[in-house]
Amino acid sequence: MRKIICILIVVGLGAIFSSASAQNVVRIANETATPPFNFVDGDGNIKGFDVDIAAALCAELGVKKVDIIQDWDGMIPGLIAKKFDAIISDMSITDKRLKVVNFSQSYYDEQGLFLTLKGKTIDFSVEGMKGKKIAVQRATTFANYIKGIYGSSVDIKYYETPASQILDLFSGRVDLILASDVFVHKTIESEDGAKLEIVGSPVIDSKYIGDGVGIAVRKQDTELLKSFNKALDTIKSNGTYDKIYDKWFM
Amino acid sequence: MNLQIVMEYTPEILAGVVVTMKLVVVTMVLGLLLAVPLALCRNAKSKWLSIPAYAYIYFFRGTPLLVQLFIIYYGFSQFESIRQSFLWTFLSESYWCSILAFTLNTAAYTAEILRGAIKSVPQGQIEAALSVGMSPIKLYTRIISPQAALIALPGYCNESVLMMKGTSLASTVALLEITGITRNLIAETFMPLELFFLAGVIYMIISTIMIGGFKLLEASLSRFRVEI
Repeated sequence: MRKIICILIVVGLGAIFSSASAQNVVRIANETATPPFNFVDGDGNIKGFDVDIAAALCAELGVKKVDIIQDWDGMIPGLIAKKFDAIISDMSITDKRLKVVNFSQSYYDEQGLFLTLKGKTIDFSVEGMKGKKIAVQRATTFANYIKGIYGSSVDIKYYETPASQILDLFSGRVDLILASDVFVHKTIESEDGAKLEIVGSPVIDSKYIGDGVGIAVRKQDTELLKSFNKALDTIKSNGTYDKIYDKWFM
Repeated sequence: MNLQIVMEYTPEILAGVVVTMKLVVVTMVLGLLLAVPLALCRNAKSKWLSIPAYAYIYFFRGTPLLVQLFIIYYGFSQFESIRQSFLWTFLSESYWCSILAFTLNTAAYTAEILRGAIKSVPQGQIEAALSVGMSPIKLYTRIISPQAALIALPGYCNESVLMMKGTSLASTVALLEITGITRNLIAETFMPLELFFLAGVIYMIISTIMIGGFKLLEASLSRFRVEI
């Protein structure tokens, strides 16, 4: 009996390690918390624009895609620690991130939008924002934007996911949310969205928001980066990209 | 491991130590105040007292602290009636929601520790005290409490240290204590190893101080104890 258990353990461990090192598998991380870019549907399937783009790219490259779900603030540390090979998760290309990882060409242009409860008037000058409570997701470009523009004159609250920001906007714990335009529009169209309102002008300052959304890979994986860029060119020119774009944003 | 980073960010994380310590001290005081009556109810002969106390302890021991915190922070805020009431002055703040969750949780565990300690005072002493005409209050203050406190102390020390480490969960409800600040810094520097290591060392220092304090307290409480 003991022998059998030993054999089973050895075989089991062997299976785990061999599958992790098998070739032609690309492990792609996404957050599954930012619909419609990436989310988990009612049946537990990972879905979204990012997921379809990842699938199209992997099909183009002829590699097997493995989805890895990763919390947002552990994304880049996880990539560096080789928990996965690429991040395709609505991640903006910023100078700060470029210092530690490489990005593919942009596959989406993102803006930030301010969201508040209907009927609130917000003065966006530094003076007018004094003491306002603003919700951002931890480790996002929007967090950097608020910090850069308003500094310590506002009370920045850091959240784990975009959804928890919305909860605290409804409860009145925060005055404003800054989040991605697509997420904000999606929220407004939802059931409770009627109580919400987009205010101010879109945030497009590339100093904070970066130059579009790209695929992040480790610095040393130059081959993978090249393949992703080439595959992005292909799906953009052969219509696959447009099809996926229309599916999620039109 | 980049020690430069550790040195550079130590002052920023130390700002979180103040918040963590406030959470710990307030929670310990309120938790103990709640635990004493709970333990007495739990030991009471009347079912009307012991069953509710047991139900309370059962709930808070049986569910994760994180879930309790989320129910209080995100759950209660869903109700318009709570948002309109005076309670909202406290519940709208991450800080007080955290205090409430930690207090209710630690009170349940502490009450069980106290209950065991009270039970362990020999029945003979209680009977002797009653037979010389001591009132129940005197019995508690002079016979049971001094001995029970000493028995409860090691267990209570354990619970306090556990609770101190549990305060790191407050970072999930937008409170910037040690863990919250550390995670923000990691978002800026992408250096989880160095910064989590630093946070770990800080937590360890706090727990060392707490354990030392409890040792001193134990020594002072047992100074009249005669070794048999």
